[in-house]
Formats: sequence, C-alpha cells, structure tokens
Amino acid sequence: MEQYLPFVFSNLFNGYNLVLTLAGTIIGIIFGAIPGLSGSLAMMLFMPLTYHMALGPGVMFLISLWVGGCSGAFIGSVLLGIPGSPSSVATVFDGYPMAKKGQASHALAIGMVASFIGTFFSAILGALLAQSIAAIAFKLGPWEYFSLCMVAITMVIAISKGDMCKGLTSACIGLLFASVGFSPIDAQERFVFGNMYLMSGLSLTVVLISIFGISRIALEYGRGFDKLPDVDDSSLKGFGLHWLEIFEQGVNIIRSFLIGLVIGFLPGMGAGLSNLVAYSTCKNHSKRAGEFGTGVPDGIWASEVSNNAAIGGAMIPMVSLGIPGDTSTALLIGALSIQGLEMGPMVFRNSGNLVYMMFAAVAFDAILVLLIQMASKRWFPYILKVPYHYMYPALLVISLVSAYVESGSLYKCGMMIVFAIIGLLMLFAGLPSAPMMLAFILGPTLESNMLKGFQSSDNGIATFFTRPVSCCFLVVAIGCIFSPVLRMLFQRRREVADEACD
Amino acid sequence: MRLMKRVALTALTMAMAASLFATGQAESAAQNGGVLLPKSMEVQVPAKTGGGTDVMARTLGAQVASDGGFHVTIVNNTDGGGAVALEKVANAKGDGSTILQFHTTMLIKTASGVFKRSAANDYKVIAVSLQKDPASYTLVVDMSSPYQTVDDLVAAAKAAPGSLKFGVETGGTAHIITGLFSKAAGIQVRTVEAGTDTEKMAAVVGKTIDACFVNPNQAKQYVEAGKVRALAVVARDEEGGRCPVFPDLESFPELGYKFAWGNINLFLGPKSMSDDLARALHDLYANAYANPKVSGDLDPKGFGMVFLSYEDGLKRVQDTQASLNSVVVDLGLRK
Amino acid sequence: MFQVKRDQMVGIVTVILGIVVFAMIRDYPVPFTIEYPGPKAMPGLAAFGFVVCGLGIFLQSTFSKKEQKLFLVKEGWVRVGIVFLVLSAYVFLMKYLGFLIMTPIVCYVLSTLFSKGWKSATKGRILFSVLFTLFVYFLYTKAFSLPMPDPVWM
Repeated sequence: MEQYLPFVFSNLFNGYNLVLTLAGTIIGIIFGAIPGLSGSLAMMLFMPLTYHMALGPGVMFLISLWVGGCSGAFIGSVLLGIPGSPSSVATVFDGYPMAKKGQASHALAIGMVASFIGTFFSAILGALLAQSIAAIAFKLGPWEYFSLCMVAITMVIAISKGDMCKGLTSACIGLLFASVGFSPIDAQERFVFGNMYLMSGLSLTVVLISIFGISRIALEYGRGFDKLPDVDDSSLKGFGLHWLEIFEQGVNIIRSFLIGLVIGFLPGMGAGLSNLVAYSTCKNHSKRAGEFGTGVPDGIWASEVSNNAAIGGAMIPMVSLGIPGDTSTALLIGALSIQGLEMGPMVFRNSGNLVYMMFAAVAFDAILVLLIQMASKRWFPYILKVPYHYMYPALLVISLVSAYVESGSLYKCGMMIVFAIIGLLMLFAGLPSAPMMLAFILGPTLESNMLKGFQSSDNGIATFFTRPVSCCFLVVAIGCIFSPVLRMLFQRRREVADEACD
Repeated sequence: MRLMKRVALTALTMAMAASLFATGQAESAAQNGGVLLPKSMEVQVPAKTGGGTDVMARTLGAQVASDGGFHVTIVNNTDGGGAVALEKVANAKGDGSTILQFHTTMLIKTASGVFKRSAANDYKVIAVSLQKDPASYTLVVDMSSPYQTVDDLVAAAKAAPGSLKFGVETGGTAHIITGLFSKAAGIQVRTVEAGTDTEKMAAVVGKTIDACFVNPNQAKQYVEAGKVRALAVVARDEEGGRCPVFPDLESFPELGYKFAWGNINLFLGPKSMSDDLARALHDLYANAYANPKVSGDLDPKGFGMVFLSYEDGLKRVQDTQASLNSVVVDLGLRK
Repeated sequence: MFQVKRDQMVGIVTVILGIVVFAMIRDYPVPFTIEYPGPKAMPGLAAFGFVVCGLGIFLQSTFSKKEQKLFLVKEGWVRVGIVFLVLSAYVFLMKYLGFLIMTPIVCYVLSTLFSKGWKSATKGRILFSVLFTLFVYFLYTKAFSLPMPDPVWM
C-alpha cells in the first residue's frame, strides 16, 4: 500500500483537484441539507461534467459530492424536521425535538462529529479490509439477504413498544407502498391503475418528504404554531462538544459504526437502512429508551455515525467486486467505467493507486466537511429564528419542487399531496412512521431476494432454514416479533416469583 | 432593502436579456438540405445518468448540436421503466423538438407486452446503429466447476434437463440470449433471477447458479483473477466473430451453436415526423459518429457503433422485433 | 349512547384495507404456491398483516379504558384542509402558469394564512414571496441546471 502514497498525496493536494473537491463538498452539503435533494442527485447532475475530466479529478469531484451529501443530510433533519435524505430519517426523531427544545447547536455539533467519525474511520477500515473481506459477499445468497431484511424490519417494529399492532400495521403500509409498480421477476403490474407514472413504483423522495414534511407542517398549522424555539450558543466553539461527551457515547458509537459498516457492505442496503437499524439498536440497549423521540442525543449519535459508516462499507464490494452497495456507489461505478476503469477482483493489482486514492479522498473529504461545518455551524441554528409564516411556505414550495425535479413532471407533485394526506391519516391513527419508512425502503430488496431464493433453491422454503447464516437471522427476526410477549411473560414470572418470596 | 430591490431588479434584467438572447439564437434555426431543423431538440433517454446509453446520447448529442446549429438537451427519464419517455415522444410534435434514444430493451419489452408501443409501428425510425464489436456477451461458469467447454455444459444439461441454473435478469438481454442458446443447443435449462452482471458473477462464484451470460468487460477481471471461466462469446452475426476483450475465445457459431445476438441503438421520433426531417436527423447522427472526435471517445469505452442507412433502419427494427416476439413466446415471457 | 373510539375506527378501516388488497391481488395470473410465492406474496403479506393487526387494534381499543387525546379540533381540520387546497391549486395551476407566476402567489397566500396571530407586514410578505421565488428559480435552474415548470406559452 505504501508504494501508492506518493500518487495518492500528489492527487489529493494538487491545486486543481483541491478546488474541485472543495466545490464538490460544499455543493454536496447543500444538496444533502435541502429536503428532496441528495448527494446521489448531485452526483447524477454533475456527472456529465466529469466525462471530459481526467480520471483523478473526476473521481475526487464525485466522491466529494457523495460524502458532502451524506454528511450534510443531518442539517435538514435537525433544523427543519424533514430528513435531508433517506439516510437521515432517524436523525429527525431526536434531532428535531432537541432543536425545538432550544438545543439546536448541540444537536448539530453531535451530527457533525458523528458524521466525521463514521466517514473517516469507515474509509480507513475499508481501505485496510477491502481485499480480505470482500469475498464474504460470495458466500451470501438471496436467502441470507432476505433473512437480514426480515431482521431489520422486525427490529424496528420491536421498538414501537406497547403498540405492536400499530407498528406492524405501519410496516404493512410500507410493504404495500413498495408493491406498487411492476413486480420483480414476474413483471406483474400491481396497484398501477393504468397510470404510467406508477409503473416504476413510488418514489422514495415523494413518500419521505410528503410524510415527514408536508403533513407535519399542515398538522402544526392545524394545531396552532408553538412559539419559536430558543437557540443555544453553548456549542458554537470548536467541535461544540466536550471530549467527555464523546467518550460517554463510546459503546453507542462503536456499535452504530459496525452496524453502518456491515449494512453498507451488503449490496442494496445502504445508509437509508443503517440509520434506522442503529437507532433501534441504540434505543433497545438504552436505559432511557422511554425518552427516545423527545430529544435524546444518543439517537443522533447512532443515526449519524451509522449512516456515514455505510460509505466506507459500501466502497468495499464496489472496488473489490464491482457490486454497488447503494445508489451512489452504482453511479460511481458507472462514472469509473466510462473513464475506462472497471471495478472488480483485479482492480487492486491493476489500478491499486486509484483505488487507494478513492479511499483517501473519502477520508480527506470527511476532514474537509468537518472544517466547513465547524466554520459555518454558528449560522445554521438561526434558521430556527425565521418566523413560521416565512419558513413553512418556503419549505412547502421546496418540498413540492423536489418532486418536480425528480422527473420533470408535475404529476409527482400531485402524488406528493396525496401522500401527505396519507401521512396525516397515519398521524391521526397513531401509526409510527419508522416501520413504514423502513419497510418501504427495504421492500424491493426483501421481495426480490425472497423470490430469487425460492427460484434458486432446490428444497423450496426449507433452504431459508438449512443455510446456517440465513437460519440465524430468521431466528433473531422471529425473536424480535415475539420479544414484547416474551418480555411480558418474563416480567410476570418474576413478579410471581417475587410474590412467592414475600 | 433598496439594495435588495436593486439586486432583484438586476437579476430580472439579466434573466430577460438571457431569454431574449436564447430566442434570438433559436430564431436562426438551421436549414439542412432544405429541411427545417428544430430550434432545439430534447432527447428522451430512458436510462440513468452515467450508464452506457447516457454517455452515447450525450456524446452524440453534443456533436449533433454543434453540426446542426441547434440546442440538444438530454433528458434522463426512467419513469415507468421507460414507458413515460415512450409516451412523451409518441405524443410529441413531429417537428423534431422531441426524440427518443433507446436500445434493444425497448424491443424486448414490446415483445413481452410490458410496453404497449412498438418501435416499428408507433414511431418514425430515424436511425438504427449496431454494436461495433463482432461479439458482445460471454458465457461464464465457476472456476471450480467441471465444465471446461461449452460441450461439457451442454452434455450436463442434456443429462439432467432443466436442472442447470442460468442466472439472468428476467426479461433482460441475457435472458433472451440464454433462450437463444438453449434453443440452438437443444437443451433445457432453468433460468433464475440473478440481477446485474456483477451480481450474476458473484452468484456463479458463490455457486448459487451454474452459469450466466455477462458483458465481457465485466467478466474480464473475474476471469483474470481465476474466479470464473469464460467458455465462449456471443457473436453479432451467425458467421461468428471474436470479441476484443477475449480475442482467443471462440464464438458460439464457431463451436457449432448457430445463434447470434447484437445490441442495437434506436433513435426514434413521433410517427408524424416527415421522412425528410427524419432523414436529415439520421444524417446528422451518422455524421456525428463519423467525426473522429466522437468515435475516438466512444470506441475505447466499448460504445462503438455502425449506423445503418436510413432505409435499412426500419427494416432492421421490424426483423429484430419479429424474431424477438417468437423468442419471448418460447421463453414464456409474453404477457 | 355507544360512541366509536378512534382506535376502533382505525382497526375497522385497517381490516377493510386488508380485504380490499386481497381482492385486488386475487386475479394475478402467477399463483401463490409453496415452491414459488410470486407477485402476490408481498402485497398478500401486507393484506394479511392489515387484517390481523386491524383486529388487534380494534380489540385492544375495545377493552382499553384509556381515554384517547383529541387529535384536532374542528377548526384545526378546516385549517389543514385549506393548506391542502392551496397546495393542490398550486400544483394544478403551475401546469398552466408555470413556477415563476404561481410560486409568489402561493407563498403570499400561505404566508398570510400562517401569519395569523403573529406580527407581520403585508409588504414584508410580498417581498419574501417574490425574493424567495427568484432565489429558488435561479438556484435550481442556473446553478444546478434543474428544470422548473414553465407556463404553457413558453
């Protein structure tokens, strides 16, 4: 690896590349923070510019858009209550309540440091492990991916404690949304009603923004706006956090980091999934589980470390096998192949210098993002001081515009209004949004792997249980579904035992 | 406040000036051999940014714009898996302001009934280009498998009909090629969904599937790394042909399996477009590719192409559609 | 008088939704079998979940003595309805009048609605509506090269 260092550093610190990287990072952060725009959209928009760039600067520019986008998403989640992108859905749960309680600077400081930890260390680990662990992906078939999806969904349902039925109903709504369009493999038209805009399924942006943005704003207006929150100035200097606070979160950070890295590594499951799983795990292990959702910093740490750790994780199968971990890596593979660099098992031998430069660029971008956010973060919380009658019309327009941007069609804006009404009805019914979002994000992966598993297996459903890894995941999933019942049983037995002792 | 007003006014003035300039430019739309070319042309591309089709569309589009003297905008429209782009172009004015660039997938989806519209019947076929490489897809198996040659694989399939698992993307090109190969070899195989090319290869190495057809560029590193074995390549023509990535690998016709497959690119306009305009656009596209700058850019990326004459284009689309229609029925993909 | 609780209503609607989904997927040609579940499996799972959980929600609510908090007062529903009406009109009219004309109007209307009970000047709201529209338009179209809805005559 050492032999590549001169090449890596000469590229990273080349003046032209530095300017491109800085521009890319800033654009990425803006795209990440504005609801409806995302790092991968920025990559799509600016990719044609790189067609005529040399390989080094082109790749660095795209990576800076990606990293910037992923690291900027928490800003929208904390300040606006609308996730900047699917990777920051869980950040809203505690980030927005913190901002409402007058702790916006603190929440932002956590998001900033957590993003840095996730991105920087996952890039370093990715570079060190890529060659040795990539082969694990060969061992995983559709059965394992299906079972893993089941674990993820049931874990999130398990946290809707006390109201399992509502959690499951919400997840079923997500599965129903994910069923819209042509089904995988059989290409069966489902819930399309002859409408061609529904053929490729529902858009994640439309569902996410309408449910988290439009319906919430409408409801706040219906209930009458609260007074504007205060803005704290305790976290404005430096990182804005005390070292002790970071160390206190050590276990949470490491656990969320590993969740992000592993989920990022698995094809088709990126940051959109890892943040929700890490949040659920954190909540399940926390002594303050009951307070989650009211502004507990642990939730932001979990979500932001894990979604950024997915970056390094997703890069491992991307470089070593040519398999994208998520949309952004798929775009990167496309851009690289246009430049004549095919990812795959030989890439370390054939173009090791470029591969290590990509990992180094991610780590370098993580530092750059941290510096940019440190310099600018004192201004962000003042967004909260903008009166509702300016802030909310602006957010509603930006939300609708994001639907238009996606396809150049007003049809999706209309669809967004419909989904906002559905979101409002869900709020009315008291259905939690996290299981729905997760089931919607995972639905297509879950279904295609289930069908692939059945198609490829010689013993039908039994294969899901005869493959050891798949079987373990399924046992955990079943355990998660029955965990509230088991917990209740244990509690009752303990109470009976206590009474007997008395 | 006054400053803000001034900024807003300046911005408005600039915008108006810019739009006036744009209109002025558009008014001077070029004439090409007496045919009125569009003032600006939107190319609907049902493929994602960064993919092969997008790169071809943008590279060719830029040259067409500069040669034709009008604006060309590439719109990546993947809504409805391409159905929305197809509708948009079918319902557009025939003045060349909106055209479609797509490829063989459109013909396959029409054959299987996923698309209601057909390239040959519902559009004006402006141009058709064939892949330049004489061979495109390659058949790969796991390195540790007993199949050293295509004959070994065929013998195993004959010994246990319907048991060999071929990874495909259902209804995709590799699915059709698997069908053509099975027919030519007189065997029955089990096609299973395995996703994209790299996912298929990971499945081959992980022994989830036995074999698959993939793009040689994607297979190259897996072959070099000794993870998969490439057995043969699929030639564009039934006479056979080699692929530049694996020049030593024989094609199926050379091995006695008579079938061929070549990707084609389609440039389509609304049915109402006049023949003269379609021919003029055909010439612009064909000449754009003939420009060494464009072909020099596309060829090394594996996107080289051969443009058919305007007259041959429609016939090629009709013939390919007819043969795909029957393959799709054989594979049970017709809805 | 017997009054239906909110969660009882939610339970019933969920069960009905499940039945409707079952009915909609019934005619898919690929059958659901134990060897290959096909395209009916996922929506079928959702439908099954709706029926079971809907019943669960209904029963839980029936046997629960807890009072449910009021979700919205009547005026609140009216206000929510107005927001949706304005947004629907915005999307519908944008098709004809384009982004640059419709956005300042809608921003002004929403901002006036939302400003009830807060200190705000008409001039300020007009200025906000125009400047915000121009800012978004130029940011998206010029800086990001993203298209915005144009009026029909353009």
